[in-house]
Amino acid sequence: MPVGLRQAPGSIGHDTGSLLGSYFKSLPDIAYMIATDKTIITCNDNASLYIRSRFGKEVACGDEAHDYVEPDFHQSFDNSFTHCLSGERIVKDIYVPTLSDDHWWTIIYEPIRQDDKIVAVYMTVKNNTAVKKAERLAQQIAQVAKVGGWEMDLTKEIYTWSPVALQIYDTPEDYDLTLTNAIKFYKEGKSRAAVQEAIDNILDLGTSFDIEAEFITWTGKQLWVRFTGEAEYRQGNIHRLFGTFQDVTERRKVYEELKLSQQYYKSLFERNPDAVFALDLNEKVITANEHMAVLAETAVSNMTGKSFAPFCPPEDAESVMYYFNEAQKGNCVSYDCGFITARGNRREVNITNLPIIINGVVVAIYGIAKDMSEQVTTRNMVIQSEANLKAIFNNTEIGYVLLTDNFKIISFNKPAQNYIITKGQPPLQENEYLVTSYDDERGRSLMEIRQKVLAGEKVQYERNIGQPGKDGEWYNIIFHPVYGEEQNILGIIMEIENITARKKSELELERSLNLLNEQNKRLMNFSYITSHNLRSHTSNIKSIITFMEESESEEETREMMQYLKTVSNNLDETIHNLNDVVSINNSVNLIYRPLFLVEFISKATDVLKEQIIQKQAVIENKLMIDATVNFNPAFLESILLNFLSNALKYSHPDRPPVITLGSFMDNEQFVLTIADNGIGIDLEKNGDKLFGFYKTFNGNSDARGLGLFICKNQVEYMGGKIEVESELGKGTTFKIYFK
Amino acid sequence: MSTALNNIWIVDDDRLYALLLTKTLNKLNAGKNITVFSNGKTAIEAMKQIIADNSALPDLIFLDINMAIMDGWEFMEEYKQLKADNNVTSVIYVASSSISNDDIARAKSDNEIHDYIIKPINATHINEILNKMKEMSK
Repeated sequence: MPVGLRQAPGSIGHDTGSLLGSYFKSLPDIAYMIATDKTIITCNDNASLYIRSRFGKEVACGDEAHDYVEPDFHQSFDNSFTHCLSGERIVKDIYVPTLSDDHWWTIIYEPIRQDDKIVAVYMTVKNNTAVKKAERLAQQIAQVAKVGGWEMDLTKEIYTWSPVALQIYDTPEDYDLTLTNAIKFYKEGKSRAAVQEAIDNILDLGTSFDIEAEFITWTGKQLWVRFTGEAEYRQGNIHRLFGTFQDVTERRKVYEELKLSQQYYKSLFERNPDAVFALDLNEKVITANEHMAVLAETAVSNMTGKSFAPFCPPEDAESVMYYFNEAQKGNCVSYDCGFITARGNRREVNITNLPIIINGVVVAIYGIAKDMSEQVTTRNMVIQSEANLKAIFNNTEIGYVLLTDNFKIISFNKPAQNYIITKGQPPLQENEYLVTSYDDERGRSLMEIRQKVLAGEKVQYERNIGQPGKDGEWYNIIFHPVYGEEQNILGIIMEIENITARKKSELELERSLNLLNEQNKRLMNFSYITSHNLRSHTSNIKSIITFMEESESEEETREMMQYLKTVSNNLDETIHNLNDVVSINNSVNLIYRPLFLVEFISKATDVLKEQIIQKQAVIENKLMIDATVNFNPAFLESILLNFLSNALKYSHPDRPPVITLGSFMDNEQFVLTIADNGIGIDLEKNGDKLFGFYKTFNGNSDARGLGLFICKNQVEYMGGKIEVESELGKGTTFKIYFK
Repeated sequence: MSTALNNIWIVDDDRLYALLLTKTLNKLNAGKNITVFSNGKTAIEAMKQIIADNSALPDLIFLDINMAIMDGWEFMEEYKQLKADNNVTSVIYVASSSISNDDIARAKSDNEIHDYIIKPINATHINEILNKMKEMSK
């Protein structure tokens, strides 16, 4: 052990005296001199200070070195110490994390030789914490920001790329990355051209650069990088280039997105077909688009910063305010209101208000205004035209019921309702079904009508509705389909027209036509009479005259004169008969009044008294004593006389005639019956000519035809009719229907 | 006149006409027997009786149209039925005072009616008819 170095225990640093000792004492590091047996020989001031602060002890010569080494490092200390004793210089970096702070230490063990023999170990402990911390921070920052560095030594043509930079290039380890081939990693076109230009400039002129460009890595990944460069001069020449190299893809993406979305919003705002504006919470216009300016009939610049209130019509102010407040509460609202332009014109608009929320606070209100003026005008016009149609619908005299295709009532007007009520059916109700099961007198059901209408057919019929004490009303009913634009059937319209007036005139016309036909028939009869009945006499006269001219004897002439007289009488009779017929047909304004039948019957039987007695006939009168008919007296007289005399004339040879007069009512019509028990008439053979005008003027006893013909004419003229029932050999019954 | 027909019938309800026609026929010696029927019914019944008796049917009939009980048309119906079952060959002329076109057309359309004569029937008519019948029988 070198004595010179050994000091007395407890007196370290107090009496060295030498220059070396003084240097040792003031070393900035902690320094120990440790004996081979790991006891401390001596230490400097910093070591004493450290041990005092760390372990609360005063170091003394001969203390065990282990006492002043952190327990975790005893092993490391022992290993290093042993190696050092074998003559090796040991340098060890130690990282000591503690709860409060991290520490980096560099410990150096150095063997001290005396006469080629290691006698002690000189141990210095250097505190590297500040340097190491700064280094770690820089590394961490570079890693996080992905900022790489590069450097080029122009004199030696040496390139240096930081690990981060190389990571961005993503090149294989042995790749020789020069400035020239680094350019090839930039995307061809704008990006590569910009980088090339920047490098040319820095090399030629020393101009620094800072560009962002599109970059494709060795593995083909597309990135955005920021590339900066600066030149360093030495003795007027550029000798070094350096700069940063950084992956800015993420930031760039955000930036691009932001730029895009900003454009979106801008165009959404500016190009919106609606008028868009923003108001602050005091209803002042912050901004407005061109359409808003058009709507307001002013310039955007004239609106901004000014109140919105003048645009709002006074009557709408309250409601607009309400919605505006709703929007301020964070609700989205939409409402119709008026809008007064800067020029004082009124528009109808629909406004939507939305809150603009920034960081959870409503800071302004968006407004979107749609000009509805045209729609509102159109709507008003539609309402007006609908009202007009409705007025027509309700004021027309024709009843309408609008029905769905399954007869559900959509709508109806008053005349339609009146018709239904008149018919005694439950009143029409909207959304109910048309209940009329049978609306037609011919029993046509609504189902049948529906089928036809849906097949595109129009169903039309006339309907008579009788009312007590009235003639009854006539209606024309039409069901027709309603077609849509594509010729599809949308529904059914029931049309009800009161056609009573028309129908009455129609019936009148029909009556006139019948009358005309009747008169025509009579005319035909006359033509027949003239062509036949009168001619029969003239033809006889002609014959007689021929005989007289060719007469060969006086006797024959006299005979013929006799015949001529007969013909002349017959002719006279025929003309008289014809006159009777003609007179009926000429009695246009014949009077008629109530007549007591019984009175007229007794008058007739009086006339026929002789024949009644001669035939021993019985007249049975079953008529009520006060039975009356409204008739012409002369006609009634003639009719009764005719029928009674016929009944007497055609009596059965085997029995005395019994003539029964009776009556009954048929549909409020008085019917007189005259029944006899005579020979009867073969109606099958003679029915059609019974009342005809046959040749009964030739002195033939059979004059029934003419009498009946006259009777028929008289009855029909008075609006009645005659019917006959008969059986050969049993008798005949005539029925006279009075009007 | 050797050409006189055996039987001539007049079916007519105009008694004066029938009398005058009979006289004319007799003057012309047109027929040996001239019989008058006042309507179609008595004539058709007489015809049926003749067929039943197998005696001589009329050679010529002057038939009126408008008659009571059975008129000329009805007589024609009955006559055709008789003819269908029996050998009846009477020549029928309709003689009517009617100048109605309907009557004339109807008579002309009937095959069994030889002709329609508008009354009165004079000697010329009768001679024509007789000549025609002579021609037919040849």
